[in-house]
Amino acid sequence: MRSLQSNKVLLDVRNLKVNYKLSGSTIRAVDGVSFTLKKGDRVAIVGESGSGKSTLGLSIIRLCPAEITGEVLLEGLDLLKLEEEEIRKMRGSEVSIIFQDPGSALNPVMRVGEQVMEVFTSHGFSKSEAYNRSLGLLKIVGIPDAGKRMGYYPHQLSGGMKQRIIIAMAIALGPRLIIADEPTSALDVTIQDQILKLIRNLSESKGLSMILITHDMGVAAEVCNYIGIMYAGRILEMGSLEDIFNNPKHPYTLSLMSCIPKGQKGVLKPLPGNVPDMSNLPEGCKFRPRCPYAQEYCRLDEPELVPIEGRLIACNRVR
Amino acid sequence: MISTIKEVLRYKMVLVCVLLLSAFIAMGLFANFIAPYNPLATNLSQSCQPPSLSHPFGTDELGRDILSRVIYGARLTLSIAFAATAVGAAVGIIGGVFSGFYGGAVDMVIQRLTDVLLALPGFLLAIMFIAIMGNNLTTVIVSVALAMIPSFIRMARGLTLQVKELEYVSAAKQLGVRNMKVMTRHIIPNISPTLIAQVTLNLGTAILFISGLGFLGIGIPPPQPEWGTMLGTGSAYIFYAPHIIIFPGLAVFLVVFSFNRIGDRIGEVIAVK
Amino acid sequence: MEIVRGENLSKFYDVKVSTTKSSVLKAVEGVNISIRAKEVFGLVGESGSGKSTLGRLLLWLERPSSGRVLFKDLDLLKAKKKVVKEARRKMQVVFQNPDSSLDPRMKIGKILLEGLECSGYKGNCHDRIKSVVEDVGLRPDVIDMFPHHLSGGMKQRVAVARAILAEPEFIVLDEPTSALDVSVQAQILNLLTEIQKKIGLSYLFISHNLSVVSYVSNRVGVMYLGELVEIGESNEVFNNPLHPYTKLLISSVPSLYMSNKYDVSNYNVIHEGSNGVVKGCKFSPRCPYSDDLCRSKEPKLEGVGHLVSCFHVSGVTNAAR
Repeated sequence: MRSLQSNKVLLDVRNLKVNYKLSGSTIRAVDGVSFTLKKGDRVAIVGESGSGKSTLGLSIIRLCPAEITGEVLLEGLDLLKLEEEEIRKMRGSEVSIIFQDPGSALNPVMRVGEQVMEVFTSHGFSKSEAYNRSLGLLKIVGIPDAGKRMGYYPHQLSGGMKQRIIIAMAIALGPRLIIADEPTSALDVTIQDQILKLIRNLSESKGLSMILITHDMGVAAEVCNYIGIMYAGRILEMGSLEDIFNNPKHPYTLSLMSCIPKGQKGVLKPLPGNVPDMSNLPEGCKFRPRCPYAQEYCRLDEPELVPIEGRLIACNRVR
Repeated sequence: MISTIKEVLRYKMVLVCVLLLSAFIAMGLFANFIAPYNPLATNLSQSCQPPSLSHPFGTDELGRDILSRVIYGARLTLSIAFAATAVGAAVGIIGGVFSGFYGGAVDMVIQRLTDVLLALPGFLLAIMFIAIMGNNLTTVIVSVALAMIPSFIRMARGLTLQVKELEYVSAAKQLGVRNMKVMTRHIIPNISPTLIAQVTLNLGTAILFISGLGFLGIGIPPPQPEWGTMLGTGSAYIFYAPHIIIFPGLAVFLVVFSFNRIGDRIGEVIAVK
Repeated sequence: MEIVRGENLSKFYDVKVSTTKSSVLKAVEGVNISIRAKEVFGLVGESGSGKSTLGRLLLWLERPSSGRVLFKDLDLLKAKKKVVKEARRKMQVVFQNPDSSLDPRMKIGKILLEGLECSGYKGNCHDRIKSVVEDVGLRPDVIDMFPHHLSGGMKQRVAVARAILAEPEFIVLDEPTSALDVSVQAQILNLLTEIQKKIGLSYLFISHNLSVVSYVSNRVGVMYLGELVEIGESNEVFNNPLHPYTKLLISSVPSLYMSNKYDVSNYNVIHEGSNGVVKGCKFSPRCPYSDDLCRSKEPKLEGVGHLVSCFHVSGVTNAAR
């Protein structure tokens, strides 16, 4: 199933930082994130609100109106150093993004078929070629009666159908990487299941790599083979899905997993406190105020993300 | 609150307008002490004098000092504008909130009454009312208020419809808070910001209506120094003694402009929040 | 003992499809539900299931198109206004969105005072408010703050405090944790269960999140397109779902724990928004077991203890399983 190139690194993010400047203070939405993604792999970036996960996804494709530093190497090419025109060409063709709300991502006064075709025609395809390819795409993403549905307006389609159209537009030009930002959060659970399976199958069959941003660990488990846990702009733990889920090591990961209700059994052990205020972060380890194992050295030293036993982890105690 | 005021005053022009308006209001309040002459005192030998040291704004066709008349006019015009807007806003907002909150038959009756009022453009409605009731202080205030009521009803009703579905209103109802209390405690405070912007803009409109009526000769009757009335009686002398209409006209312009600029700015600040 | 009962509740809305046509949206249709004292009744369903509407009907926030709501045997439609008002006070609500459930122009203290006044409390209001604020896990200094100073979790705690101050016997919680982060969600869930046990309240816990519902509920009802299709003890329904829709729901939940997955590959994927089913079982277009009977007649909720509304399951009693 995996191609021969499956060991090649597709995306190498090095010390990515995204800073927002707000009336005097600087918000470090992404504070030095580094990770690699191999071809065909799907990594989930999991975090709560304010963790910086959406900013991370948007900054890779430079859709963030903020100051971005570091390196984002797509098969060796640094996306952050490209000119505006060059990065614009890459969006949609090399790297695609799928957003959360399918309703607002589609033009309400344009037929969906035309919108998919537009992806092709704006990249040099003829109208008839665009039509054929669009029709094919709609079939691939599982829209029945595709010919008829090409002529539908977005409001005539359900949420799940609209998201399928978005996915079709995202994979249209055969991108190497797809960034999906909470792609199913706005959908019902039964529809979500269908869409997640579709995303996973497409990724596997076309060898597409993916960064899936979500707050839901279950969603991460359904789709991805790697997972990174984000908190206050930093990655605290990252590794293969099985590793992390079967043997979570970082206190935050442990807490997150024990917060999820597991049927009637088990007691919920909630994390005390609130998600951090990004304009007022604590010294040292950002998770320290809520960590049940916090020590004095956690306040003095901000832990680095280092490889330990086959995964990356940022915790002074584990080291 | 304070931050909203600071935000509104961020632009110099808005600040200038606020100061200008304050000056006019002060003029109106302290007219007795500021005006050099009695605004009603005629002196035919001094008729149509251009601006001079003794009469900085000149004199009108009956020899009355225009500066004093403009100063007293501020009192008259502004107080009528405030009164008319207050009445119009009060009736309109209460009607609109009831209409939106209760819906059903109440809504229907109030909206059809509004339709009747809207059948004529505001100014024409005011003219019609004056034509029927004659022109004096009370009828002018009422006619201008009537012209403003429909816009307040519509706006208040629309805002109420938006707010009444919000969950804190449902929570209050479930707690057993009586309808009147829900309207005064929850609905009105939350729709106030937009309404305040509307009131400010309407003050400008009120002044235009009042002056318009005065200009046509069916507003505050002469010899009262209402700016519009001054414009009306002085219009015959526009080529011979233009200063007679320039100064009251300038006053109307400055006050209406100021109300509009301030009202617009308040609206912008509210929209962003 | 029964606290709240809904009998044959329906709520229809007239919806304008175009300038000349309007159709009827059947948000809730023929629902019978009974909630006992000190019980947590979970109500699950997806969007369009009518679960929120059912909650509002039971609270008497909206009048049903047909059917009746009884609060401790008091028929809310027939009773006098004053009596109904008193009964409604005993049924409180916590909504989903922490931002719109508190009046942004009122201080927390005033918001809570409103709840207390309505309960006719005769003692020292300030002390009572302070004590409930602490009970929900907040510091007393929030009383002087405005809602926008508080985080989502804190605002929900205020909403819970407001509900408790009215001294209710029954609370409808409509997706109370869905807008919160996972870590905060857990805190609020624990708070809710703690309060329920301490005061002895009944809850109608509405949510689309099955893991949350299965954690908090004693009994559970599953809704689909305005109808209750399955009711039973919580662990019964989740470990042994009878209705095909319930099986689909459970299998669809993305989960770390792959248990409880049923084979749903043979379910039909429906596409357009509304169902458009005129006759028979509303789930039949999606159901792999549907036949002519399902498409012509409407099944009713049947059973003892564990009820289900399906022709292909009825006839099997609790004992036989």
